[in-house]
Amino acid sequence: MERQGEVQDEWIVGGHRFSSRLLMGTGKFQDEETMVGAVLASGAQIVTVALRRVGRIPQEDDMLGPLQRLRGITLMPNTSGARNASEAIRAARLGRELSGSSFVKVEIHPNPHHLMPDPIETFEAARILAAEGFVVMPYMPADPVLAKRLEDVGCASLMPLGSAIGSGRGLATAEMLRLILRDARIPVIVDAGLRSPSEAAAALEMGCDAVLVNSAVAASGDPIAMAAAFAQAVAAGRNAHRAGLMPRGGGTALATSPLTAFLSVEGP
Amino acid sequence: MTPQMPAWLDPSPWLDEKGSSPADVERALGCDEPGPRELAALLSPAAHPFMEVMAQRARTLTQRHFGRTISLYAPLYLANYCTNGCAYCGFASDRAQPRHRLEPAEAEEELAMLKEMGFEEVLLLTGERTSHAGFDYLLECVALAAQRFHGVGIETFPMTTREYALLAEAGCSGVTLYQETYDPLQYDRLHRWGPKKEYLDRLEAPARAMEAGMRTVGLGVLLGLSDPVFDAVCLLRHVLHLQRIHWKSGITLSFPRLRPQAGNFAAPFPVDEAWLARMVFAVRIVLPDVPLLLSTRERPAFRDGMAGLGISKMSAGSRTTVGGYGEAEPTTDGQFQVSDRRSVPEICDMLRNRGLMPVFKNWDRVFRDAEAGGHG
Amino acid sequence: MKLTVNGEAYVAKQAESVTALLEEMGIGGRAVVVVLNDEVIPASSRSTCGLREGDCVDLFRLVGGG
Repeated sequence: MERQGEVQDEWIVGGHRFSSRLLMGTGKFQDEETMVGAVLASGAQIVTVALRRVGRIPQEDDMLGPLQRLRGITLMPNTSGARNASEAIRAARLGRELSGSSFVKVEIHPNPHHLMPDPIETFEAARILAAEGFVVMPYMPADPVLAKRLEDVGCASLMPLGSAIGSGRGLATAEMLRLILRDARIPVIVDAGLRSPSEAAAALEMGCDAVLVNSAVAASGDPIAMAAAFAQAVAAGRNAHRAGLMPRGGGTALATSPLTAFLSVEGP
Repeated sequence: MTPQMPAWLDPSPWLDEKGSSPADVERALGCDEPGPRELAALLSPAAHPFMEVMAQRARTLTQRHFGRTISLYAPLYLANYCTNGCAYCGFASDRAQPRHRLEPAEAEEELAMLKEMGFEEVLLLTGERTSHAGFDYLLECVALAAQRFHGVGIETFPMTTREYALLAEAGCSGVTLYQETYDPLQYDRLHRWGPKKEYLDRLEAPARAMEAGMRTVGLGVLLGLSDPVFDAVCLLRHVLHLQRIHWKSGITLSFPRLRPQAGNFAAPFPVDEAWLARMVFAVRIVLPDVPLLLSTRERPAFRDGMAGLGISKMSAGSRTTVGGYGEAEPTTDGQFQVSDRRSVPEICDMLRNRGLMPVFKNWDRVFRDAEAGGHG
Repeated sequence: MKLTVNGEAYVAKQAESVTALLEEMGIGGRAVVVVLNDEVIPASSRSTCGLREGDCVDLFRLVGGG
């Protein structure tokens, strides 16, 4: 999509330039070392983190320290856990204090089982946070009209789901994603449901600007190797998109009575 | 001074000097999300052998998005006063022709006649904004038409957002405004004098109409004025730009082709029927869900053939004189020569014989009235 | 001083300032955000921000997730 200047194939979101089109989530890892290793192997420059209360046990695992010390990484607090707009807004404000960046992933899922995003609460939170100067990245159902509404209220990107979080069903929403991509004026980042690097490649081939993966890496056999594989796939998908895929086959058999016969009786 | 084309309009990245090959055309036909590049390929000489394939694809897409139906509407010229000097137009201010405007009573009569003929949608036309037929006159006519017609469109002169909002409130549902040609240099040459010389103001007007809440905006180019491939790609770019921003409004496209009229302006880039047909097919392929219109400028056999092959909407029984539908003899010449003079029943019969249902849409007005009145 | 910290009752020995409270809890040097009675206390204000009987303190940090 011809949405932004592609100097060295960078993409721009919220006024910030990035070269990596793979975003990483940091949840579900068995330990900090694996998580950091995977983030490094992925080449991700935007990494989501969650907000939790500090426990009273002083020696709690500090998952985040090493990550915060890595250079070139933008931490993006995720409002996951919030069940409505006002909780998400509160979480976003707290997150900004801690991360030092204005990026926030607005994720509001009232149902703790399928974890589908609430379109109405997400819209409300996005509207208010965008007005407060956050770089709002809304996790959303793959709905083309919601996409335009979120764009209109000032979101920096759109993060439509490929399929339900953790479901590993890939780009189940492909047709909806196409409609979103067609009219989007801000980057489109497919988030949730991807299981394999080939699905990430497919998202980029389709024209998506980036993808976010978490479960697919954390729950794989070798997360660090899988993160690297995803990085390769995202690059391949992106390059393929820029190169222009060969058209599908599917010849059109010509009808016996041609539709254009009336043209041979030439008029002026 | 020739204005600059805005970046969102500039077609040059997709207009290759070396032209398209048959392979490019195949690629365009196989493309999942065709865009300006694909349109250029489909309009290149290399695509001519693919006409039949394109026609079939156009028909399939039209059926998918519009069913086997053709919407019908009537144009009503309210006035032919004009201060512009458009080289190609019968109403140009230096053309000697009787000038007239319909007084409200006359307009009522014409509108009643059109309603009798079965129309539910009317397109009101004037020349440039003049003291004889300016905004207030138009507002009054729109209000009159809105009393009887489900759809009231206007094809007049560029206005401000506020003016468009007032018209929308008065019952106007659509604004048609052709850029004529998107080539700034050619545009400047052809629009010799008058307010229409303002290229950018005209270009931005459809966006203003959408911002003001108009439900539909009609765009088009006058084929024959400039390189048609250039204008076609620009037209597409214009559509894509508006769709991204004003995503709640609809867009329709027309394909007026320069026809002879008094004054005999010769088209600098004449477009023949085969080319026009291919343009309609190509645009249908690239914009599967945008209504495409064909007027009575074209001859009957051509209109018959194109109905349903991309074309989803047509005018019928048209008069391009001021008024002309009522009892009174028209006092002016027409803006252009009407080639298809068939009556509405004749057009409807033709369509039915071709497996197409003529539609005079009259149903969603009810929701709009409810919205304004408010029961909830 | 009786406080509510992270939703639980907590009796603080050092409560002159938020900074002191964090020290007492053993999280003085950690990256946390402090919310006192629903108001975010920026890091720069912690040493001068006093506590009163019955105050509600919430402490948040960033963790892996999302």
